[in-house]
Amino acid sequence: MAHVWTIRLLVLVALLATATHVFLSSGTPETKIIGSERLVSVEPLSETSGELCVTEETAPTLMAKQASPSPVAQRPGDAIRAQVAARKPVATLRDPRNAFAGLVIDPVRNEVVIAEENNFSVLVYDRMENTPPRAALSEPKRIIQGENTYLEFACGVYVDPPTGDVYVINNDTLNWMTVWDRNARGNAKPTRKLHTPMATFGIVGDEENQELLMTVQDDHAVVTFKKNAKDLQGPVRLLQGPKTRMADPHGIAVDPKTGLIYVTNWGTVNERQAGGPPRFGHALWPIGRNNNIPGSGRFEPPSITVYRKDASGDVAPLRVIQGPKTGLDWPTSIAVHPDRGEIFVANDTADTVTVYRTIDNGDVAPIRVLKGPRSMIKNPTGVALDLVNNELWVANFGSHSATVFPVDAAGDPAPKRVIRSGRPDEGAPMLGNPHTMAYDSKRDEILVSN
Amino acid sequence: MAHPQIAAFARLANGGAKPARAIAGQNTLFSRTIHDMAYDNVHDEILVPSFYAFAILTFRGDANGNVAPVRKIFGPHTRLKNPQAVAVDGVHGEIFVPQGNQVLVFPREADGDVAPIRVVEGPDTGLGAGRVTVDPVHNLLIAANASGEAREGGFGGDAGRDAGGGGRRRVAAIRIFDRTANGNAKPLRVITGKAADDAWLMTTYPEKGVIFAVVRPGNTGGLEGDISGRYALDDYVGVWSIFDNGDVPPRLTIGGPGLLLKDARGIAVDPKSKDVMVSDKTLNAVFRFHVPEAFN
Repeated sequence: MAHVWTIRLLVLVALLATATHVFLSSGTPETKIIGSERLVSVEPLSETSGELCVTEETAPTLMAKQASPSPVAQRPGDAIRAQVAARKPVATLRDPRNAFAGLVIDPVRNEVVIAEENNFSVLVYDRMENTPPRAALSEPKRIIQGENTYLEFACGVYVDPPTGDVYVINNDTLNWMTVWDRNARGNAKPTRKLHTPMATFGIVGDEENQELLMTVQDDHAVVTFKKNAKDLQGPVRLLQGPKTRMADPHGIAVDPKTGLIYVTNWGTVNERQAGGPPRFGHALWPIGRNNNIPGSGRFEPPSITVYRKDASGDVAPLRVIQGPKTGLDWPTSIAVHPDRGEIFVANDTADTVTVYRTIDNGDVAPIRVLKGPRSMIKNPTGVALDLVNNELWVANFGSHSATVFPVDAAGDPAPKRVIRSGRPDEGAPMLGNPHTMAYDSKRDEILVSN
Repeated sequence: MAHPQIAAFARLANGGAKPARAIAGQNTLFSRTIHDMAYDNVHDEILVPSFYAFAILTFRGDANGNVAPVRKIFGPHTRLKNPQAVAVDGVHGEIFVPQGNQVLVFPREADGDVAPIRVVEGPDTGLGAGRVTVDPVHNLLIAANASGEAREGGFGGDAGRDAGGGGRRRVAAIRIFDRTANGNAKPLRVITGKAADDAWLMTTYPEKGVIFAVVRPGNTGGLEGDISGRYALDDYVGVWSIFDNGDVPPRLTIGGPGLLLKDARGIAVDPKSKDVMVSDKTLNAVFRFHVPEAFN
């Protein structure tokens, strides 16, 4: 209590000194006049440590300094400015390894194609590649990477079965889908590219209709383009609106047998009003964030929503898998096995792949779960099926690896094969689009957000 | 970007070091890329805006793993709309959320569907506010709206070219307001000039009245697909005084221009060690610079 009164006394002294200072000074560019609200704002402060900001220990000192505001410091000379501008960092936090985000199998050509986020690349490995236990990593057969590629945070990839062409979408920062000839490598310009909505995440092809379907996180939507669309051509179909129950959609899969699509949703969502001019001149471009209704945000549980693949507009899902029994936890990627009638979901932060029946509805438990240290499944963000060889593939963003299992695997099995881009014991910092930072003075830690 | 998270690294970490802890998962209520956060070192809490759920999430400072926030501001009274930035004033117990032509102010302990206690908005404010920071010592609210974000309701990339996506363009600048500014308040000072126009995320060293801002000039990628210059080494950290006013270049630049930063984003400072930390999106890296000159 005495400490509180000490603080208040110091503040009063500061206030008097400030008033004196203001009275004596005349318009120099210094701290503003301090009003009585300063007293109102003072409160006992919790105990903290560290010196850099305002803590219980430093607050009295800092507030006292308001009586004599920080003088306008001299501008440094040119020599110092040049020296500081050229100074190299004393430390660099960076993962040199490739981070596997999404993948697709090309059984025709016996390859796996991986969207990689850390080094902005697309990697192609032989399907049977298996990194030896003592090896540091496996080298890909081909790498597409460089400043001409329009690849940044590529997380979704599709391979055209007839041609082997590779389709890749960037989730963030560059709103382009890029297409390459299957033999492309290096710093290649895409064969063609297509302008897409901001924050596309999942991509899948509907070969029957020669269409590409993409989830759009930002707009809680699925957009469909013709497979041969390019440049600024618009979508041919839009699925968007509150009835769809999409909420931060990520993965998407098509069941060619039933003509249904499956979408995984993380759960955050908002509402928006239709209206305004067509975005980018396309009537079927999703209604954008500028039409959002303030205060309309919601948190929903994660889900899998099911629609006809030709669904358009604001239509309700045919079925919704959602609830505590489902085990969904950041369901990031999804694949369908039409013959088995099963859907496979990669749950990022549960370190699981959960399997459901394609006809499931409501709060249902998975029929199988893959999880555990032997499985090496760690922060899975991509899942794919090889329907020819009946294999399940998982991209593990958290362990520099892709792991391969029999399609009916369950529990904690060792993978049949592993493709690694780093040593198993290295771990992964999972830095991806490091956007903002803060300094935690209490723990002497740097906080970095993706 | 497949995996949002807040990772905590030891300040001296280097290379491919693993984080000491990371906040991620369904319970966190995170959605996509986290564009800003704030650490309240008075109350040991981390604040994160939720871009899709229109919320401000508060976590314990030692949060780790798939944990729920201890408080969340969200609901129809909040007026929150796609919040992508946040600042906290732990001394005076207030949260600041810039969104377009306004800054919403909430009590630090607000939880649930609460209305802002103040809203800075109106023609005299000059906002566009893309990012804000607070100097609790000099009682200042500092707002930046880099030219890429200087359009009402939109930000960056396509937003400026989207016929349905933005309003009239604002004049980019660093605007310095009284911390308690409310309504159609004029800024006390406005820092303009080429560098201030491109200022982005900011932080302050209140004890010395220093503003640190990431400066991102150049091409950020356009609808037409022109990415020439996108990867140029032209980003840097600009250092200004809170007393600067008018067309004032930064007193110091850190990390460039022309050194190594391609797409700088986050900024943090540790005055005790006199370190400046910067993240770069294109390089997927965090750099730590030792710059005593910036703290003198």
